[in-house]
Amino acid sequence: MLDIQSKKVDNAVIINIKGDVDLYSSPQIRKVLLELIQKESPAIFVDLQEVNYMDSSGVATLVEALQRAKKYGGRLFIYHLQGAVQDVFELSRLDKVFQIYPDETEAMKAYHDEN
Amino acid sequence: MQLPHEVEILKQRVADLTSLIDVSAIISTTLELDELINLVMQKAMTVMRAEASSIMLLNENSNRLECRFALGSVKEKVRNKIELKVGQGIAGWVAETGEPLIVRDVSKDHRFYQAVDRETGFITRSILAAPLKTTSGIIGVAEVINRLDGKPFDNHNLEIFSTFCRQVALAIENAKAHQYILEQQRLKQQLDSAHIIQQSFMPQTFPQSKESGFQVYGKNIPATSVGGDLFDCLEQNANHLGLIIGDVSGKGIPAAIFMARLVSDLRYYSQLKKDATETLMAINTLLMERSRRGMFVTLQYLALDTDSGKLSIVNGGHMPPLWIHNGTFKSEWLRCDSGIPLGILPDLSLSKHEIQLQAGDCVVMFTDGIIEARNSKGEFFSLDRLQHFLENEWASPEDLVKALIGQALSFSQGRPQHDDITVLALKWH
Repeated sequence: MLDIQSKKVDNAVIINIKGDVDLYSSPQIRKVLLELIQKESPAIFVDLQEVNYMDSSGVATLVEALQRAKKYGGRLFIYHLQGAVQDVFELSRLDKVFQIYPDETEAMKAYHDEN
Repeated sequence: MQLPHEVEILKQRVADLTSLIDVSAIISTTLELDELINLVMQKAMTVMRAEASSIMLLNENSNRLECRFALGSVKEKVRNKIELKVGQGIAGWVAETGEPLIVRDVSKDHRFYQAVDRETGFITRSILAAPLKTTSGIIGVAEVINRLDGKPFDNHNLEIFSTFCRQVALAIENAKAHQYILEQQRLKQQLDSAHIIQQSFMPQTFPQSKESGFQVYGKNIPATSVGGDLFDCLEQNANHLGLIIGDVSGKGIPAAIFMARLVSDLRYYSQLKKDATETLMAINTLLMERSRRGMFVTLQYLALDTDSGKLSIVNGGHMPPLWIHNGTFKSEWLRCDSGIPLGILPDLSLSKHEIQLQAGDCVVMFTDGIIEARNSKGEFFSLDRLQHFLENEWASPEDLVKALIGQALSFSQGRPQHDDITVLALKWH
C-alpha cells in the first residue's frame, strides 16, 4: 500500500507519495490526481522523495495526469526523484516530457516565475 | 420401564441425528452448488416434516436476499423471483441479526412479509429460519415452512435445523471455492492460448543472408502469460531490414492488447513510409489519438542496409542498443539523441543516428525486464552486468540472446520474473 498525503498551499496542491509505485499501487495515485484534475487544480506538485521504485504503469499515471492537466492549462511538477526513479525518467527521456526539479523550493520557484 | 411417548421421542431424535449424518454424506458427494442445495433441502423438508423450504442467498452488491432455491407447491413462483432487503421479512431479520428464529404463528408477527403469500397464493402459518454463516459472515438464510402435521415448529426443530444450516453453509462455501478454482483454471487456459497467439505476432523465423552475411535472432519472455514487450523484423526490400523493439507501459492483458494492435500498425506504416523516423512519427500520431490512461510505448527502430552494413538508429525513449565490436569485443552504448516515448506528446522530435558495422560486430537491443532481473539481495542485473557479460565473442545472435537471457534468469535465482524480457540481436559478418 502506498501512503499518499496531500496539502494545499495557496492555489497549488502538494502530493507526497511514500512507497513503490507499480501496476498495483498506481491506481491509488491516479485517483488522487484525477480528483484534483477534475477540480481543475491549477498546479499539482508531486514529491517523490520516498518513492524508491516506479515502473512504467506509475509513469503512465503521471503521463495521463500531465496530458489531462494540459487540457485546461494546469501544471504538473515533480521533484525529489531518487536514484532508480531518476534512471527510469532519464533512460526513457521522460525528463524531456515532465517539469522535474531537485526539490520543492525549486519547483515552487519555477511555478511562481511562470506566473 | 419407559413410557411409549418417551420411546417415540428418542426414536425421533435418532432419526434426526441419522438425517444429519446423511446430510454430511450428501455434502461430500457433490461440489455442484445447485445439485447440492437441491439434495440437502429435500432432506431438510423430510426431517422437518415441512410443506415448503427455501434458500435465499445474500447478494453483497445489492445487499438483498435472492431466492436461489425453493421446494413446495409454489416453488416455481418463488425461485429466482423473490427478493428481500436485508432487514425485510423474517428472512431479512435473520440475515440482519444472524440469529435463528421460530415464528409459531406468522399472523401474530409484524416482521412477516405478506406480499409473497399474496403473490403466490401460498398460506404460510409457521416458519423456521436460520442464517447460513461461514467464516466470512452471513451468506444467506434457509427457511422451512409449515409443519405437515399442522403444528407450529418447536425448539427441538430449531436446534436440528440450525445444525443442519451450519453444514449447508459450509457446503455452499466449499462449492463456491470449487467454482472459483474452476473459473481460475478456465482463465488460465485462456491465458495459455493468449500466450501462444501473442507469441505468433512476433517472428518465429529470422531473416538472414549468406551473401551479405547478417544474422538476426530475437526472444520474448513475458512476466505473466502475456505482456507488453514486442519485437519485429521487417524486410522492406532487397537491401533493407528493419529491426524493431518496444515496451508498452504497464504489463499483463492491457499492455498485451495495446501491443497486438501496435505490431500490425508498425508493419503497415513501415511499408507505407519506408523510413524509420517517419514510421515512428506516424505511430505517435496514431497513439495520441487512441491512447488511454496515459499508456505509451518506448520504441526503437534499427534500419540496416544489408548491402553495406550501414545501420540507422531511431529511438523513441527506449534503452539504447549495445554495439559489440569484433576483435576487441569492447562495446559501446548507442546513446543517440533519443526522442521521448510514443503516445505522450503530439509534437515528437526524433533524430537518426548512423553507424557503419564491421565484420563480426553485434548490436543488441533489449527491454528493461532483463536489467531489472533481481537477485535475493534485491540487486538488479543492471546495464553494467549486461554490458560486461556481452563483451565476448558470439558465434551467432541466437547464442548471444539465449546466453544473455539465461544469465539474467540465473542471476535472479528462480525469483518470479518481474517484467517482460525481450532481446533482439544482429550480427554482421
